[in-house]
Amino acid sequence: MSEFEPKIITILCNWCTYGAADLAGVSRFQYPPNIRVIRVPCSGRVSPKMILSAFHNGADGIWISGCHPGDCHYITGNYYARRKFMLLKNFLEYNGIEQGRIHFSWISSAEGVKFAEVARDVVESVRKLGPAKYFIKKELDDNDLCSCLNKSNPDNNLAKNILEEQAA
Amino acid sequence: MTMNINQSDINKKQIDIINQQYTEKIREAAKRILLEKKADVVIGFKNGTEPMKTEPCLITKASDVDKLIWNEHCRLNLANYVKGRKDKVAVVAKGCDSRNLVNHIIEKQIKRENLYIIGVPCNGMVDKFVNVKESKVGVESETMQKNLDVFLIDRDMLQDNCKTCISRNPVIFDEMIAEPVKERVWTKEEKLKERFESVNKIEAMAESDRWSFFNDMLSSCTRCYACRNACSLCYCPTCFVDESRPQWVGKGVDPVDVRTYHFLRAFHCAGRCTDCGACEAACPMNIKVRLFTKKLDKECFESFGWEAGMSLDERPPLDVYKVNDSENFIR
Repeated sequence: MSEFEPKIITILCNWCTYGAADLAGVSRFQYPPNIRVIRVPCSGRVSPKMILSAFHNGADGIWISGCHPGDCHYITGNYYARRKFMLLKNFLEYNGIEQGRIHFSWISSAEGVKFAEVARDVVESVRKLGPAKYFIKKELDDNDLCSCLNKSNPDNNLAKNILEEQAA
Repeated sequence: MTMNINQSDINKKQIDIINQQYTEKIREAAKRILLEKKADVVIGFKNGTEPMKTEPCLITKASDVDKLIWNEHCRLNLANYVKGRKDKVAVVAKGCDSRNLVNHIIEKQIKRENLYIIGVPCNGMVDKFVNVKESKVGVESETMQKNLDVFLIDRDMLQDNCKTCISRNPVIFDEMIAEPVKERVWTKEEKLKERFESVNKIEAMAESDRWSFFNDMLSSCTRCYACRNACSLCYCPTCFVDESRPQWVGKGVDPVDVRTYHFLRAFHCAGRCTDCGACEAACPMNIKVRLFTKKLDKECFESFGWEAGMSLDERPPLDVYKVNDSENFIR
C-alpha cells in the first residue's frame, strides 16, 4: 500500500511568506510537494469560512502563514489576525478537529530556510493524522438521488425521468 | 454550593406582584415617552398567541400602551429590533438586552442619542420547555394558565443562561422602572467554573467524541435560522449562508452544512455574545446552540478578560490587539 500523501491548503500572505516560498524555490531548498498555495494580501484577510471551505473540498490540513508581528505591510493586519487565529484554532479543536490539522506560522521573505522547514513539519504532522475525517462534504451520487426520490417505487416516474435525462 | 441569590425564595405570588408592578410602570413610561415625543416608537413585549409566550411589540401611539406587558417569559432580546433604525427608539431592556444595546452603540448600529432605554431589573426568565413539562399537551389554554399557580421561579426552572447571569440590572439606561435587583458577586474562578460548566464538560471529552457529540446534538436542526434571526448580533447585509459566489455553506440539512452553519454563526458572535439566550429560546428543536457561542465567550474571557456589552468605552476583543498577545501556537 502506498503511503498516504496529504493535501494541504496553504494560505500565504503576499508580502512575507509568499516571498519566502519564492526564495525557498530559487534557493533550491527541498520541501514536500503536498502544499497548494493560495496567495492573500494579508494574513488578516483569512476568514474561518475559507478554512471550512478547504475541508469541504478535500484538504487534509491547512497552514496559514504571514509576516512576523510588527512587520505587516498594512502595519497591524497580523496583530488582528493573531487574535482571530487563536479563537479559530481553539474553536476547531473544541468542535473535534484533531490538533495538528491546522498550522500557523510567521515567516518573513528572507526566511526561505524556515519556510522549507515548516513545510516539512506541517506535511509530516498531517501525514501522521491520516486523511481528514471531519467537515468533508459528500458528493451526491445516483444512489442518493434514488433514495431522495424513492426510485424503488415503480410509480415514481420523476426519479426515472431524471436519471434517464442524466444518462442522455 | 454558595449562592448569593436564592431564586427559590421568590414564590409565584411575589412574581405576580412584581410582574404587575413592572407592567404598570412600563406602560406608564411608554405613554409618557410617546406623549413627550422622547421617542417615535416604544419596543416592548406583548402577550403571545399562546399562553406563556410573549412577542416583541412596537408601539407608536400612546393609546396602544396597554398592549405592553412584563412577565417571566420575556425571553427574546429586544435589542434585536433596534439595529439600523434611524428614528428615535425607546426600548424595554433587561440586563442582557442593555448589554446588546451597548454592543449596537459600539458597533455603530444606533446612536446613543436616538435611544431611550427603559431599564428593567430582571428576575430571570423561565426556560421555555419547563412550561411544556408543567402543562399537559393538548389541554386548553385556560387550564394551562391555572397550572401556573404552582409555579415558582426555581433555579431548576430558569433558562440556563439566567442561572449564571452576571448583570441582571441594565448596564445603561435612561430610566429604571424599579429598584435594581441584587447582583451576584463573582470571582474569576467562580465564573470560569460555573458560567462555563457546560463548555468545560465538552472540553474534557476526547476529540472524536466531541465531533460526534455535536453531530448528535445538531441532528434535529432544520436550518430554520431562528437562532440567527433571534440574535441581536446578526446584521450583515448579506448573511454568509445566503452568499452564492462563492457559496461557503450548502443550503440543505446535510450534516456537514449544518455543522458549518453553526460553526460560522458562533464565530461571528465571538467577543460580542452577551449570552442572552435568545437563540436557544427561539430554537423550535431545543438545540443547545449556546454551547458553541459559550466556548468563544470562554476564550475571550480567559485570554482577553472580556465580557461583551459591559462598557461603552471598551472596544470588542477582535477589534483591538496587544503587541504581546499570546502566540505560542504560531511557529
